[in-house]
Amino acid sequence: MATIVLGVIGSDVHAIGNKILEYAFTEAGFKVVNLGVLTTKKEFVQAAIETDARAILVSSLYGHGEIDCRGLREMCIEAGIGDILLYVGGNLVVGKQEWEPVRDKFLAMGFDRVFPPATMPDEAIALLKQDLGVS
Amino acid sequence: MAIYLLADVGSTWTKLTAVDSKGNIVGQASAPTTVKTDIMEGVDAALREVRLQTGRKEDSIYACSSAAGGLAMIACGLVPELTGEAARLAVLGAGAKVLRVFGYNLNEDDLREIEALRPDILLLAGGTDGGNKKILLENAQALADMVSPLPVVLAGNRNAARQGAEILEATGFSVKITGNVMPELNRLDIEPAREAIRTLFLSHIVKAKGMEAFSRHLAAPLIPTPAAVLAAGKLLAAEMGELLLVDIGGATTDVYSYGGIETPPGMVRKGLLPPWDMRTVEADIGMRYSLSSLVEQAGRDLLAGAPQREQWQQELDKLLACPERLVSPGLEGLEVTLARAAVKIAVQRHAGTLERIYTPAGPTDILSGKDLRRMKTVIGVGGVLVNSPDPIGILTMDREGLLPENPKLMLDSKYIMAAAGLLAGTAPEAARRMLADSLAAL
Repeated sequence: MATIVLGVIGSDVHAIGNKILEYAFTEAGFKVVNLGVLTTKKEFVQAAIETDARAILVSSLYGHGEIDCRGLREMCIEAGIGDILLYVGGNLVVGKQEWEPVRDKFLAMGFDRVFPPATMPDEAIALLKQDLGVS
Repeated sequence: MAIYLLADVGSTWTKLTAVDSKGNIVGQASAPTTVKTDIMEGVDAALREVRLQTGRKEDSIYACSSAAGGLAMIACGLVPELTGEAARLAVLGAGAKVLRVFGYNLNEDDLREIEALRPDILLLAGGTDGGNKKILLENAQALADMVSPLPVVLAGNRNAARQGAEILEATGFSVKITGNVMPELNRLDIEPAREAIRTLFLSHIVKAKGMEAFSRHLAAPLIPTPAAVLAAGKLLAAEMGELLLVDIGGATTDVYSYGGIETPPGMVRKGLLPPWDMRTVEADIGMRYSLSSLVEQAGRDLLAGAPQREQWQQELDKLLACPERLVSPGLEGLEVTLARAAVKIAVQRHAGTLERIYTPAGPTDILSGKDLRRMKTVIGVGGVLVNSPDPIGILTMDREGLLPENPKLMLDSKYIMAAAGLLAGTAPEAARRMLADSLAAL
């Protein structure tokens, strides 16, 4: 059973989607370490170290995702877990922007997968299983 | 009626209290602790006096000790804020003194320091259950390779515990495996480790000569003195509700809290949920041996507004130069001011933090650690308070942060806390009676 760390980054208090993701990933067979809302980058990294997590799943729903997520990959590298999978999803930027540039921006930040608004959990679960080589 | 003899073998004094089975004090005596020759000399001297008072031999003896520096430990975890902190809280909760806390991989300097400090016990933690195994195994290997054998309590990732123990045992370490101090992220489970430490205290820690012979006379295992105080407070909290206990000493200030772990509605809790019964020790906050660091921590305006500021400053300088000194008559106010600062700093460090952040959805309060605001009672322990003309002044804290907002102030007037704690397990009714007799409302 692969351990994953889940949380809503920055000063974001959107709790419902987070609970749905916790439920869906647990049902799918993952051990979910849910840090909940208002999670800092440091908390994501520390939790991943202590629990030996194989992926960090970051949500951002309030439009400040770009500022909050910048540097997360670098922090992982610095802490010795640079190879960990990083996923991000939600309303990552303010307003309605074209998706491709937004996705590319987050990929350039070091995220392995970037999910647009209204992605269903199943889609992310299937990709995570594929990326981790688990069934 | 049965007579219990309760012994507190301290670093300087051996204090004996005899109580009947109802908890009435029927004899009390103390003698200097004879740690250099044989601790039984001091115990026997006090014992003879107590038996003269009670007129007969006691039925059973219970004892705690902080002689020869008490129980000194080192804690190792992985992430300092997670399993490092969990390990630290377990060590403190067992009544031990924390020499050092290490995080991540132990390097050569750390190992050299461990070898030089020679702790009585080392607590080795790291990783949640099913989480990181590497740290525990690598640190076990490093200790086995570089440090001479020590008693180790291994309280880390259960999936690596057995293997870690084998690595250590191969070079002669004695290892006690116990439950993980942090089985899941941010969830503490320190009672198994505390219990293992208390057990080892008896079987391995016979530093003071005569302690082993003494322990054979005991009806229950010898425990570290702070563990007895913790037990007494627990008994009180069951009756009186959430409470805070502050023990101001010459070298350290200990704070014990019971409760304060609920998250008020509308707040978000972050980080480790602290243990319901929590002990912290401030080694740099004390009235004599740690006075210089207390004064430094209290800041420059410590004596601001003092009525006899110049005299106080001169007196303070004398105290700093000579820790054995008593405050000159007429200047007791200085002692009150110093003790008040000690209480404030120690309780502030014990308490958690409350931070208001502004989110697009409005302001949100983030709580971490202990919330002491609703503590019903604050109990002061220690000679400084008992002998002070103004214990209320010492124990009154400003309303700020997460400090108690409107507590009832009480004093352990007979300095009975540790003795009562010794009876908390076997004769809780008697212990309650002892505490009720000693506690004085201020």
